[in-house]
Amino acid sequence: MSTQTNHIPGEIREAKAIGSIAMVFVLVSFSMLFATLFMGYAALRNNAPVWPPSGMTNLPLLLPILSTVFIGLSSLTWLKFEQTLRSLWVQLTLVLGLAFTGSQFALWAKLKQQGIFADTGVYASIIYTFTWIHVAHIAAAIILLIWPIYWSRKNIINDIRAVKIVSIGKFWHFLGLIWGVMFVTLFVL
Amino acid sequence: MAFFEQHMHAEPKTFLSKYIFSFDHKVIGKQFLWYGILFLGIGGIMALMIRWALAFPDQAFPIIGQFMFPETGGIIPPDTYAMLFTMHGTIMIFYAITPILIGAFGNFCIPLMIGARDMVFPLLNMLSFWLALASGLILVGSLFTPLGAAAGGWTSYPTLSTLIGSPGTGQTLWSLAIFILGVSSTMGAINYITTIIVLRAPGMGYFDMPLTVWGLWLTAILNAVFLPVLGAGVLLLIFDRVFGTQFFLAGAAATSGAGDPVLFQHVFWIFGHPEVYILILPAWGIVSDLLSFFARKPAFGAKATALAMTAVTVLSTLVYGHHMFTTQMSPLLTQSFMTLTMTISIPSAIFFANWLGTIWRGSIRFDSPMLFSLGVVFVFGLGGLTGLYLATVTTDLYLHDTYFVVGHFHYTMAASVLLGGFAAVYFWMPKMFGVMCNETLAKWHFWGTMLGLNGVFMGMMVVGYAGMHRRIYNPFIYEHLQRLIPINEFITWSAILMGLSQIFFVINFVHAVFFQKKKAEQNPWNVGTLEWTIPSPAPNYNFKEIPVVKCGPHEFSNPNLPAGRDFQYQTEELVKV
Repeated sequence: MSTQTNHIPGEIREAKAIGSIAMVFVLVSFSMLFATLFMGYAALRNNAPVWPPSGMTNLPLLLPILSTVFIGLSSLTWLKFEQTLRSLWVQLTLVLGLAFTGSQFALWAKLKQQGIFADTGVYASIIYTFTWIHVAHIAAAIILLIWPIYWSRKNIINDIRAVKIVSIGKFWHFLGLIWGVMFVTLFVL
Repeated sequence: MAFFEQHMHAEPKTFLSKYIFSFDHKVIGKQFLWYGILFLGIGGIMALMIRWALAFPDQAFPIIGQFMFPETGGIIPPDTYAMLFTMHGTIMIFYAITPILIGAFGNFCIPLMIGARDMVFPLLNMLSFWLALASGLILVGSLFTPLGAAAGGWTSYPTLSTLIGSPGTGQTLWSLAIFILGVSSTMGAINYITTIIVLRAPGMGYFDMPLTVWGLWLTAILNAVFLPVLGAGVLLLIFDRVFGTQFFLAGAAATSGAGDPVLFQHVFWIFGHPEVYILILPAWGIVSDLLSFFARKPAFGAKATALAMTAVTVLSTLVYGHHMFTTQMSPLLTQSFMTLTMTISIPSAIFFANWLGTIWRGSIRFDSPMLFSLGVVFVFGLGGLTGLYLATVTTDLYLHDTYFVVGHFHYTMAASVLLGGFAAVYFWMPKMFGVMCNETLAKWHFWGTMLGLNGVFMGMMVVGYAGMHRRIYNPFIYEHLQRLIPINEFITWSAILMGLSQIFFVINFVHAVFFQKKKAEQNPWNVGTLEWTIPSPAPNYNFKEIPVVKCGPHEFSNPNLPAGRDFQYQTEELVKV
């Protein structure tokens, strides 16, 4: 770790505690947002006579599997980055994050090809809306990656920044987790 | 308990950095206060227009009616009436009460009362205000769209709030504004929670915090947990309106597979019931403190009050179904929700009894903050008791959607919170602006408001019990409601009294802030909490030295205190024989 010039002693431990306390509540907030969406999905699905609703073709499974692989790998490269703090790993995370986003766009294109649009019915509404909201969060997380990339390339990671990196990582893993739930409930089941 | 000592802010030099883009929690608090008072005025005028339409449906609204509704000769038209009650509810809840109690006093009181120099994330705090401002502008802007503002009620139930019920952009902008405000409040909430956990002054345990801070803290927790639920709901509503998704459309309106309009009600009230406690908890906290400060007695059972408020917070998350008894819920569910709702009266009764215990045989000083606090005790008692009839399924089936409900929730979350907010304004005025308000005007303000609001909300309960439904443009076209015209006129005159009384407040407040020359003392109320150990108004760094807390916030009338003194500061060792 590099130098600690203007920090009073003990500040790192405190920054860690503050970062993790705040992050817990941030993640609770985001979890509630997604939990509400899943609750709505469960209610709609359980009240429907058949699921998927009649007239809906099967969804493509290949692209969601690809997305899952991308976002899973990105969490692994991030873990590696937290261990080594080398810019290669965070850049790989960025690339995988972008690949995930790309695969989502491909998924939407594919759905449109099959004639499934957001206003095609409640099933399509759920698929589109959930992926939109999730990708919007991924976009925010990708923007957050700019700082770790900059710090690690310039080699200016100090203890305080390391704390921030851990916080960003928590958000990234959280989004991966949400995708996992979406993949299983929306596409597999 | 402090995790660390914050650096002192540098003194801001320019106008912009001092008053506009300020990181200082006190300035952000004042920004929220002005924002809230402005919207309180707008929402109040809307309330008067609603009342006018209900008492004198065929007469022009005085003074401004001719300009606003020239095509009807000043009479409030039916569609405008629907917009008025929708916007009145939205503005009062999200843009007046929330900014004043949580935005203004949350920001102002938390760091000062726990002995910190600022919030832990000042930038987040500033962003929270600017997002709230953007949201307010969008909401006000929606009034000027071609088909007018949202008109589906503040609850915005589909299908009223879908494109079928409200085709205009007003409802879309309403949803967007609520979403942005939700983001803003969540940011604030995360800031408050973290600040209270990590920045309490050394020696200050959780039960040494003033109850105001307890109330604000619990509110922040509820905000952080439940605002995202509403966020998800309005987001889906926006998608339904803009992208044609079909979450809340059913029957012929949906093309394939059916959405569910009632789903929105569930989502809305999962948020909505905690929301009413979000609004009232800060007021409870403030009142619990002020009653002790002005009765010159330790707060009776302060720990029990804090724990009871916590219990209410937990229970509030489990009772939302009592808003939906009439949606054909299974009787098993309605009874569970009824029982859980009734359970809330136990912790409520605990802290209510503690309030009475606090003032019992105290040397009460009837200064304006105390008058308003006693007002809260009165109106909250009434509001809480009438809640029991609405929590009971059998009576609720009759009372649902009548003016009884309107009277009940105005007593609990409008009247109590309003009076609590005014108590806070008068009480912290010296620390916020360095001046005192005029006591005489404040007392006129109190009595006008108190008489007016009881006339209004008591009257509402009576007409509701007599069967008058809410949200009807002209109820008196129905024969069985025609006999309620006189009492409706009485309610309206009470509302006008209440509205006019606010002029005292505006004069008093504006005069004190801008024209009052006489500076307030450091501790005009003789209170021992940490904010009174520093000069009035609070300097931009709050505390030169971070205080060390040695006793609780309500140490009054200790017989061991030296003669002529009946309180001690939290920084002083508890006096013993």
